[in-house]
Amino acid sequence: MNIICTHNLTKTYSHKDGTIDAIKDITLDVEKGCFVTITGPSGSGKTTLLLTLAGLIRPTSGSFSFLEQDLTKVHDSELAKFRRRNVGFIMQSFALIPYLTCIQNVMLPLALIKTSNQKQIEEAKSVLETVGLGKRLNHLPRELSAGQQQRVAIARAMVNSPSIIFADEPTGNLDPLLSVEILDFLKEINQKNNITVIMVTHSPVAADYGTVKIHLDNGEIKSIN
Amino acid sequence: MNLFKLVWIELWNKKSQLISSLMAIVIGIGVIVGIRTINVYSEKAVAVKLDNLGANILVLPQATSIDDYYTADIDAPTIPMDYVEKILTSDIKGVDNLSPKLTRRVTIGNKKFVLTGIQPKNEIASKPLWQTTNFGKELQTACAPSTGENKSHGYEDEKLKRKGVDSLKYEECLLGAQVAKALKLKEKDKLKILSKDFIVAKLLDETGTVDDDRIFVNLKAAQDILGIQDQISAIEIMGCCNAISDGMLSKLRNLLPDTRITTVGQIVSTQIETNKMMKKTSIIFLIIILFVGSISIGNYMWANVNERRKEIGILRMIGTYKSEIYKILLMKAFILGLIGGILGYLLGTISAYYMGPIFAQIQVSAIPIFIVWSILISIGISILGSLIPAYFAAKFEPFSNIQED
Ligand SMILES: Nc1ncnc2c1ncn2[C@@H]1O[C@H](COP(=O)(O)OP(=O)(O)OP(=O)(O)O)[C@@H](O)[C@H]1O
Ligand SMILES: [Mg+2]
Repeated sequence: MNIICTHNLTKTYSHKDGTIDAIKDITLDVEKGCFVTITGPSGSGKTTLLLTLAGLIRPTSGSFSFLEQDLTKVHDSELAKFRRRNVGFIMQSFALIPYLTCIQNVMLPLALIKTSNQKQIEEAKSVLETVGLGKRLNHLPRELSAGQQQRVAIARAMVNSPSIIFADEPTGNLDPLLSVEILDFLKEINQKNNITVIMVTHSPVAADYGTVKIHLDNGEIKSIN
Repeated sequence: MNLFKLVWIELWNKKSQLISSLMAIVIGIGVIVGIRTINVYSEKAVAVKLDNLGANILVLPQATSIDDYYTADIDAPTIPMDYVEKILTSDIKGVDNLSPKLTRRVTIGNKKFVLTGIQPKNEIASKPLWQTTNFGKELQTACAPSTGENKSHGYEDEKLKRKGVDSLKYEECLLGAQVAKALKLKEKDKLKILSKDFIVAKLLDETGTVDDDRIFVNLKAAQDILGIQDQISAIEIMGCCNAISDGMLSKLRNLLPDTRITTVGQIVSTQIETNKMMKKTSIIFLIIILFVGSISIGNYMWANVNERRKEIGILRMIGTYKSEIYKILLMKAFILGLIGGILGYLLGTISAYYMGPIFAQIQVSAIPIFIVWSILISIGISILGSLIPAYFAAKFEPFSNIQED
């Protein structure tokens, strides 16, 4: 079963010096449960593709759907609803809210889907324990190391039991050892919880984790294997 | 965790920013509350003064001052009694309760008192004077139509209620509290004034006003024993304040050109002027604060929203609706307004407490209802100033690694 399908997905940025085709005619089916890695040179459109699939960027043309639901032209709030229910995000820069503690950051996605406070605390705690931060619940992000911050971000991405996690260079700010730790973790989520992972990466080591490896160049798919 | 808690945590984390952004609103609301508080008490003070005086307009002989009237010298000038009729038959509104008086200083047993001849029924007595003795029946002034403002605190629209003397027989007299004490008299006693014997009909309660030193007798009796027929020292008029400001005085002056027509006590009238000015000032301040406060809050919100572009992007990324972003910012504006209103009220009330005695010679205390107004106005200003920043913030792109600085 395909979790994500795209057809001729294209994103063109217009700029005063001309237009840039960030991604061009991407046609792609992602099967549920896959670990997809996207590689390619800088500026090849990896992030653009990822954010478009996640419903954060509107494609210029083409279409994409999530679990057979066409999301190409739905209302903004519909996309937001899709994200809060089905999607987890892990970003290179962690994207944590600086004044919220670990547990509050992790509770946030649950708050959006109107979970009771009690349940929010329970679930956030349990996920943070899973990522090994059970003792850091009330720390602020700045009081944590980079690897720990990224684990908070992973906890946040997992907490609403998404069907898919989008990761944009999740190990880009981490040293090789920590990178492996995070990657193993993603692999584990992918396999144990059957959460589809789509990960953009520069590193060949990270790319090796993929069960489906997409290589982009100049906004186009060069290879899938 | 919920949206409200999110807002609260953010505000709490940036307390110093919050305080500086509130400065304009707090000071503005404080000034308005301060002025209005003093204003209200000052108006009350005027009302109390008027109450004590009983009447607020005096028609006096041309050459007399109010002080002369109260000291009541033997040869003080007089005016003809016909003037009462003249006023009553004119079409001047708000002067229904006229009371002609003849006042002279008399000596009884080596002590000096003021003898005042009054006309029963028409006599206007001050509220404190008659209230407690239950003497006489209530009179009301017919006020000119009100202008519709200041219904709650002032004297302006309130119908002035007084109790007049129903009956005072030719041979009866009323004694002010001090007089009764000095002469050791009680009810039904006899008192000889000049050539005539009077019966004490009533002892009046202490009022703390000049009335305490007065002996009241029937006007006709006073004219007879003083030998001043058909003449009076003054006509006291209980005029409605609206009517006074509508130019009643000049109408009276036109009607009786050879008299001196004055409101009772310059203090009262200057205080009325001050009150009007304070009212105007507070309206001007309200307008200023509406602008300055909104701009100041708007400015803070704008800076705050831009500074939080990334956070708002993160919230959008994890699926927060635009409408929720909007809600978050308006909630924040609401909290700012609430805090601003409360602090402004406190500032205003405390300053009024200390400034009142200095600038308006009156004691003031807190007016609790003003906190409701302060908060409403402050929240209104805050939300007004936040609408535009919130509108733009909701439009921010969701977070992506690209937008990082
Ligand atoms: N908001 C934007 N406006 C204009 N052009 C953009 C915008 N975002 C991306 N681009 C352009 O689109 C192209 C693809 O960018 P993208 O960020 O997807 O590349 P990438 O593969 O993620 O690169 P990197 O590996 O450096 O992160 C680039 O040429 C970039 O300049
Ligand atoms: Mg990128």
